Amino acid sequence: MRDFEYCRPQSLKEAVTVLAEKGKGAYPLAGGTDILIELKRRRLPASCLVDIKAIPELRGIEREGDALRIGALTTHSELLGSSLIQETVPVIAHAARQMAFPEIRNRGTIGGNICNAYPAADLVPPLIALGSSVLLASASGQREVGVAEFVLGSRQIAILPGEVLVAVKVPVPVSNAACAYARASTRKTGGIAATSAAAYLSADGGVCRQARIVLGAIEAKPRFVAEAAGYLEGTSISEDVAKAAAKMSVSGLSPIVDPRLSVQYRSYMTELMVRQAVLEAWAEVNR
Amino acid sequence: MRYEITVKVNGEDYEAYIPARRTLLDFLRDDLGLRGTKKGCDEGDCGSCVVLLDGTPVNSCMVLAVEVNGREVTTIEGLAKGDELHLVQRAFVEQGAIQCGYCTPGMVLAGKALLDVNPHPTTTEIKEAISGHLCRCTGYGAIVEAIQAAAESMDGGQRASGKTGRSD
Amino acid sequence: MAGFNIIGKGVPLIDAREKVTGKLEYGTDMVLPGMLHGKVLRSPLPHARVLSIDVSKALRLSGVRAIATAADAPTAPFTVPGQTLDDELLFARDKVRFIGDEVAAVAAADLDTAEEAISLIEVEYEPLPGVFDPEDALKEGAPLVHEEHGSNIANRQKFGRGDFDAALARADVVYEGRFVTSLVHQGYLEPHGVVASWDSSGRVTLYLPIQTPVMVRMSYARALGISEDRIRVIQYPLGGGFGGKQECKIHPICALLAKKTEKPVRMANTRRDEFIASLPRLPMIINMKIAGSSDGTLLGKSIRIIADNGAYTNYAPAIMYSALMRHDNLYRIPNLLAEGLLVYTNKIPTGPFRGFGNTQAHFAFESAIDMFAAKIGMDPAELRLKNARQKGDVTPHGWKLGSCGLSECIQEAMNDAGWKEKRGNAGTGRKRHGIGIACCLHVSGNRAVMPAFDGSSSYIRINQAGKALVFTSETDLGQGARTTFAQIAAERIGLRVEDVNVALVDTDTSPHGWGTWGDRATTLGGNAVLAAAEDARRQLVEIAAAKLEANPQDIVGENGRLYVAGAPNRSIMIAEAAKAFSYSKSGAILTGQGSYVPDDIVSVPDPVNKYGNVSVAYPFAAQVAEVEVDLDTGEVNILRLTAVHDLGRIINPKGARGQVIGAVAQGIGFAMTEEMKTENGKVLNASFKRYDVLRAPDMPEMSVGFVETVDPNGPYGAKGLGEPALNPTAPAIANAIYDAVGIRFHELPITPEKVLAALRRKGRRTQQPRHCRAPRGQPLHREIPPQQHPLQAGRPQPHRL
Repeated sequence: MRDFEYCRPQSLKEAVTVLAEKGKGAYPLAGGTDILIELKRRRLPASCLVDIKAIPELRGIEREGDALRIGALTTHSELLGSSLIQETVPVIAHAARQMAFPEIRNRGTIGGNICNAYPAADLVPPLIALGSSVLLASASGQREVGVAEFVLGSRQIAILPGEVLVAVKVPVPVSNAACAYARASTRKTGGIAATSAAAYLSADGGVCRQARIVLGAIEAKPRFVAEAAGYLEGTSISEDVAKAAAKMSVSGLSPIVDPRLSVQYRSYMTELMVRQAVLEAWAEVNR
Repeated sequence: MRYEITVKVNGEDYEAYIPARRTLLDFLRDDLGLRGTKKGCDEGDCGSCVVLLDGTPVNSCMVLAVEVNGREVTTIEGLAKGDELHLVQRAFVEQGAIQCGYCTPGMVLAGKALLDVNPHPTTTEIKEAISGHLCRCTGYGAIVEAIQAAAESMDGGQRASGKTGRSD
Repeated sequence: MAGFNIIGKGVPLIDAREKVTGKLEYGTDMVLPGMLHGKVLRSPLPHARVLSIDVSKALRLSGVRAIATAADAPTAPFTVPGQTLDDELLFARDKVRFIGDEVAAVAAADLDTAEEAISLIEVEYEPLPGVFDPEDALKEGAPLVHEEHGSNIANRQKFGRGDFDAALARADVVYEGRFVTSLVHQGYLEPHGVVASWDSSGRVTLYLPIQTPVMVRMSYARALGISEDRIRVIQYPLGGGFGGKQECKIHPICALLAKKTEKPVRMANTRRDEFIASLPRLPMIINMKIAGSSDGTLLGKSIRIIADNGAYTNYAPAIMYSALMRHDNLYRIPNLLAEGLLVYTNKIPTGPFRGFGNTQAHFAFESAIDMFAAKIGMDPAELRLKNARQKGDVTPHGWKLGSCGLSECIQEAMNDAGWKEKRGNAGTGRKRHGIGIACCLHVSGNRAVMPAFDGSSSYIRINQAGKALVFTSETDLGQGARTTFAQIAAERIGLRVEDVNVALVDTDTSPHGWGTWGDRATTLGGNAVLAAAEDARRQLVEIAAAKLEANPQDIVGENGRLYVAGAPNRSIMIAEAAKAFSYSKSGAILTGQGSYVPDDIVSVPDPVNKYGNVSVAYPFAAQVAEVEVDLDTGEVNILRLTAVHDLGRIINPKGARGQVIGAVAQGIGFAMTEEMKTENGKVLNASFKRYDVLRAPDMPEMSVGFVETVDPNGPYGAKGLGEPALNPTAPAIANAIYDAVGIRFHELPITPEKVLAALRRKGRRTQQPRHCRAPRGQPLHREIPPQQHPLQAGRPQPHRL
């Protein structure tokens, strides 16, 4: 690794000040499970790591009205172990469980998973499908941006210089709504997602009222598939309906290259994952 | 840039003045001479470097030493009490769960951390707990059996064997 | 085991306690005071002329002590012992030949500085067209990897037995298939490492985690241009080897840096180094032809191999030789033809990996045997039983089978797995069941290299406290060889296992032997230890007999004591006898010496026709895999794997079981998930993140059984086990998939993607996936340029309110 500075601000205010002061080479450090690899491979021009783990405002999982506020520092393990998450948005726990291994989940955070903007990030598709947003703080104040708008592409996010991701706001699905996530990889345990799909569905009288389908890992940025979602809305979802929606989801995809798998196979698996996520969400809605 | 840190390792306090870029793994191995913690991939994929940070297993290659300032680390060297092996260690020896031994320190610590929070794990839970650890020698069979045996011996062998049966 | 005190007991590894407490110092744990840290600059190009190397900037960096390039290294090319194709240099001189080729090396005060210095070395390359496919490399006008060689064929072998063409003419049925195996890595958890230190007399000591201390001393002496006696190799414990730790270029490079700096230097591979520049398994394209009668009599077999050598040769000719003929000794097939071409490409060089070519060939052969059975409508297990080799057979290659439990292995595996009920019972619906069998044989105590080290030697010193220290040159890679040796010595002498230690190899003090490969340790090393133990015992018994006033032949050893048979109270402690020996000889330590040189076994088979009995013993096995194939996803779930092995005699049941399950895990990886994907010579998945080694939850239910045939040449009848255990796994799985869905997979690994594509071709699926736009111009998942990094500010987006 190249040499760099390290600081550990104790408050959000201190953190945004330091980030603004240090400028371009300053990077927030949370769980470190990605940034340390980048540093070891000498791919990141970091002159200063701002360790944000001591900042109390970035912690905790709380219910705030119709939404959950999940602190940016919440680890994947904490997501998995939270009864509040389990009760309100179990899909987040399910997605967190797909990520790597226990030791990595003990360090990796929800904020890191989003800011890393890795196409295969497991939390991002369900967060987007749920309509989540991120809360950002800087020296000049706070703002809220939808996760869908925040993730711009592979390794690109709409963060401003000096900003810190403070928390993720996740709308809790109403009682007749649910979200499911399915993913495929080259191996059963701890593999990086080769393709993934999240489906959010709400129902009214046995008919789908609202649908959001988000694809992950297959393109450089998470993709909303509006046509398929529109197709589901107003129908009573069956195997065949889900199959048809899944088929629509993969038309016109621009898959990124995965050295391990062909585009054909990954789009086929995308179709399967959409089908699976839609059927699981629908089953949940109707439970 | 260098920084001063104080860290408790295996119950003993250490003060050090180290560069920010030093990982906890290199700090343990090269600065403290605790080379029982192994470097297998240095990218969080193999589990050879797992230590307990305030009781929780982490890949020490994925943590900077400066980050653990003021915290407590347990390495494989801190597990046995004098000549008396920890139950998980003893089970690894007795069950033939060790071949080359390079994964053993991380595996043992992961097993201990699991039993600390879940004293009656199923085989599925054991496999999940060590899923971040590669072993290229044993095929994992004896390792899973050893953690299971350790769980049983912690119970003084009282527990019904069915609870950790292979069938789950 | 009746009649034995220690043989057949599941004693823990003698170093288990050190390992479980983290106290065992491995090769990469070795530290010397004041040592420097070295790092290699590797070629980023697969094939290029090196026009210039400018190290001036790097040398100016504070903390840099020395930089070595081809200019510092001998100019004469070298290769490994027993091989003849000298095509390696310490550093690329005029050309680089693969991505990862060593160009320069830095020694610095710390590793970060060494890394920084590496990034400051400026190399000017003139890129050359590369060749990445062995069949392309054979074409007219293909770029030459080594121009001086005149072609890309590094080695060619052709030999036969009987008359294959006549067999073909006589056969009712012929099956022919082309099989392809992939580039797979040994994946030992401890990367290669070395500490090198020169003394004032001009001798270098290399502290190495290595399988073959004596062999590397020979090749490193040539690499460094010095005599062998100027190198001392001190072996350190290995964090796994699996054939991959018989050689590593950083070892002699480290010696060079230590010489230049006059300081000890330490080097270790990163995991990435391992995946781009070590010696993974030699990939092969195998054409297999089987000819026989419709009643299941096998008449002939031919094999043609094109092996992808990579850029340099190492042990590949021997690996190809093994792939060309070892499997011929499994069944009674009289007419054989073998032809192999070893071909250079601009890719990572390849080498030994557990199985040594036999694994690749077994995949092709055991798949082809199944297809032959299918063609004649015979149960594939019955076909194997019908043709199985038997004890006492002399095979067409001259191999003499002193023991052979192949038929028993097949029977037991079939019974255990429920073969008869499960076979041909795929079921209907989304998930199909299948069961498949494959067998193997291997060598144990293979020689076939150089007569100077045909057998093995050992000596055992028993000190005044009655503690024995065994010296041997056959190394422990973690498989437990030291424990096996301790058990053999303790059994023979009458000691307790805990009173026996086994020294790691030091070329200054250990006997000289080839080290561990070819499943030599148990048979050759074990016999040598047994002979040394016998010699030590004889001396102890003489003393005891005199003291106890008994006949030497009546003395029995057990549990650290020597006593008169039938009168256990007339006894003397071995410690006491050893002390008496020492005191009577002015402090000498009682030493037993033993050598084992098997007779009737050739060390080097006939150079042209390759005929000869090359191994002390031959282990056999049968494995049965049970799978479930998901027609929707192409996923293959391995439900259960039965492995029954003829290992002669069980020395340590726990160790034996561990060897088998560990090998099967590697075998499943070879079959299903593992592959170093390359594109224009570049390894695309050079990390454990994307190189898919099996993890604990991925293992199937295992059933392990043993057949004890008590080999006449093995110590206590034992044969090797470590290598053969992974040979049958991949074909057993492929055969099970065939049983489930009727599709033959010819190419490894059998990924869900390949299964799905094959299912679709077969027309079992009606659902067609849509074709997507070509991914041209899209960013790679992995290689993200730093300026695109997420944590850097992207384009600011308007607030969403």
